[in-house]
Formats: sequence, C-alpha cells, structure tokens
Amino acid sequence: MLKSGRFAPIVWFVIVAGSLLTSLPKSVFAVEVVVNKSVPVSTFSLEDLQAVFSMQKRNWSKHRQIKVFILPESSQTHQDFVKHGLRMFSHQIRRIWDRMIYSGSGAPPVELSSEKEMINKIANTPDAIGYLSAKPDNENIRVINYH
Amino acid sequence: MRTSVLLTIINQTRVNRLPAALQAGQWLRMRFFCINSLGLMVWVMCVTLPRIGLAENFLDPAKVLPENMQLHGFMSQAFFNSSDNNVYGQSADGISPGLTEIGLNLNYQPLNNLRFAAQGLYRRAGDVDPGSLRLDYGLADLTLIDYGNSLLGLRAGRVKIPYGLYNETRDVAFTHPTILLPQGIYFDRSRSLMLSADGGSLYAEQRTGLGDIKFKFNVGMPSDDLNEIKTIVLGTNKANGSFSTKPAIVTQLSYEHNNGEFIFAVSYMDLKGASKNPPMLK
Repeated sequence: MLKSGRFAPIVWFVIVAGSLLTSLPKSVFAVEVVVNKSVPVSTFSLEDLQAVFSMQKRNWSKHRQIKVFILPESSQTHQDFVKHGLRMFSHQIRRIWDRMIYSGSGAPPVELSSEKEMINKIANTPDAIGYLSAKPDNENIRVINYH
Repeated sequence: MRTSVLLTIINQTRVNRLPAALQAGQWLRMRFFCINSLGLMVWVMCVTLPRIGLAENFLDPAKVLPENMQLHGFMSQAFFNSSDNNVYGQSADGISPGLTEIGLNLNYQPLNNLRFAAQGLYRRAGDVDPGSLRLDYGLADLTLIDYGNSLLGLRAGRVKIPYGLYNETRDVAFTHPTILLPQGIYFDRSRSLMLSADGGSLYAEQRTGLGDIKFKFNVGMPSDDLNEIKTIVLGTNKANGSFSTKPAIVTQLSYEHNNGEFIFAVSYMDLKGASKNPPMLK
C-alpha cells in the first residue's frame, strides 16, 4: 500500500505536469524544404535530409556539390525545421556542426539572416537547399517532399 | 563568434600536502577530485552572441568573405571557486579566472573535393601555461571517393588526434558536456602529446539505415613541447632541457546511431615522448 502522505506530492506533480503538457497548444508545423530548380532530385527520405543538413551527404551527384543554407538558431522557422523536419534536437545538430568546425573536419551550412535572403539565395544558387515557412512564389524554387 | 563564460564551483575533499617536488603537480591531482564531484559542479555555459549589433553591418564574415570561405571563432573564460584546493589559480576561498581559451579558424574550399582549414588557439591555464598561442590544426582535406552513402578521404598537415569522444575539440568548452574533461581519459598532465600531430589521416564513413560507421587512421608526429610533464616532474615550466616525440599511430572506429544521439567509439593510441636533453632545474 502507498503511504499517501509520502507519495502525495509526487502523485500531484504527475497529475499537474501531465495535464499541463497535454493542454499545451501543438506547434503548427509549417516548414517547406526548398531547393533550386537545378537540383536533380525529386524524392527524398528523412535520412537523406538529415545527412544533407548534418553535412555528411555532400553531393547531389558527381561534381555537383550541395549548397546548404540555414536560418539563425533564434528563428522560429529554424526551430520548427530542426524539430519537425529533421526530427532532431536543435542542440544535437549544433553539436555536429561545432565538432566539424572546431576539429577541422568540415564546414557547417551557410547561415543567412532572414527568409527574404533565403529566397534570394535558393533562387540564384545552383544546387542549393534550404527551408522556408511558406512556399514562395518563385519559378526558380522548388519544394521537395520527403518521407 | 561564440562567447562563453564558464562558472565552476567545486566542492572537494582536501588533498594532503604532496612532497615538495610535486607541488606544482598538486592541482592536477586535485582535478581528479573535481571530476569525482561533478554532481556538485554548478556551471553556466555558452552565452551565445551569434552576431553582435556592430558585426551585422561591418564585420559579418558572410558579407566580407567569398562564398567558399568561412570564419568561425570562440572565446571562453572560466571562473573557479573551490572549497579547499586550488584549481587554475587561487580558487579556494576566492574566484580564480585562471582558464582562458580563444580560437579562430578559417575554412576554404577552392574545389568540390579539396578543402583547407586552419585554427589558431590561445590558451592560458593557471601556472602551467601563462598564455601561449599555437596552431591547433592546419590541414588540406582531399575527398577521394564520395559515392552514395560512402565517403573516403585523406587529410594532411597538422591533424587533430581522434581519441575518445571529445579529444578533437577538447579546448572548445561548449563541445563537451563538462568544463573539465575526465582525467582518466583526457589526461591534462600530458595534454600536448594528445592535441594534434603533424602527418596525415585516412578517413572513411559509411551511412546506413541503422546508423553511421566512421573510421580514422592517423599517423603523425605529436608536439614535443611537453611543458605540462616538465612542470609536474620538476615543479616549474622554466626548467632547461627538452623532450622529443616519435611518430604516433592513432586510430578510431565509431558508430553513431540516429545522428549522434548515441555514439560508441573505440580508439587506439600509441604515443611516445622521451627526454632529449634531460630537463633539469636551472
């Protein structure tokens, strides 16, 4: 038998925390993975996407290096992309990039300051990949589906 | 540029006085105690200032540097407070700012399969290192095969030593989970031997649906500037004499599940350092 006096705080904590967590509004996931229209890939797996953004898959095909662009960590679009798009933690991908940068084993994606700059870069850089909060109205940009 | 301020409060067991000859090494022994009392460490790290207001307009590397070049840096300053023994300066009953680490690196990729990278590091650590600048790594990285999920390449120059999980970035505080690394693996009393080696590295990576397998085989000459050993054996880093090292082999096989959520690694390291002209007190 549980001694109610001793366990009551824990039981209450679980009840309160549980109800708080389930009542939190679900984040609305609206991030589109976008590529320059030159990119020779139309379907993508989640593993491919993770490998591209963690800079482990470096080429679309021979001699066609992937140009990866990201938004600042403080932006909601970046947070949504990492959490729901890559299904990773923001600190997890940061650690992968930091280890590359400071051990000399690689270079991280290029960070852009705004979505406007992202649209501009993706539209004008062959083999580029990035993400946006909404599908842009630009004929040089294509949305990629992945599963 | 990342800036971090490290705060460490150490509650430790008092270490008995060591023989006079080992006085300077005393703090090293104490650090074992720090690690043992990790649970008591209070630390705040990584106050990230990704871009300072000014930098946005004038110094933003993305706007000054060509597209195939990247500049990154970090700066960290630690403050130690301990209950009994000193860590990096007078930390017992006080606050010691004895550990400073500043790094700046440049990455340049002229070709799809060729990359150059170099990092300069400034470090100041208690009495052992009053402040010195060194080339941490400086290498050319050539990708030999990059096909599908496989990667094979060669690095030459001054290459970091792949030992344990954190040795390659041991001086970059925010890349490892504790400020002071466990001394049973990442020895500080012979750290110069373990930093980087002048030589080459062959590396291979294979991505699979179940995780990534990575392999590194390094051969190179580690630094012979073994000030820590001199300090520990003789009690001063100003002693005469010098050390020599032999070409070392370091190899590592690692498996990363779910993009590094779990990492398992086996490393082998064979390092040799000997006294060339036996160091002695002036």
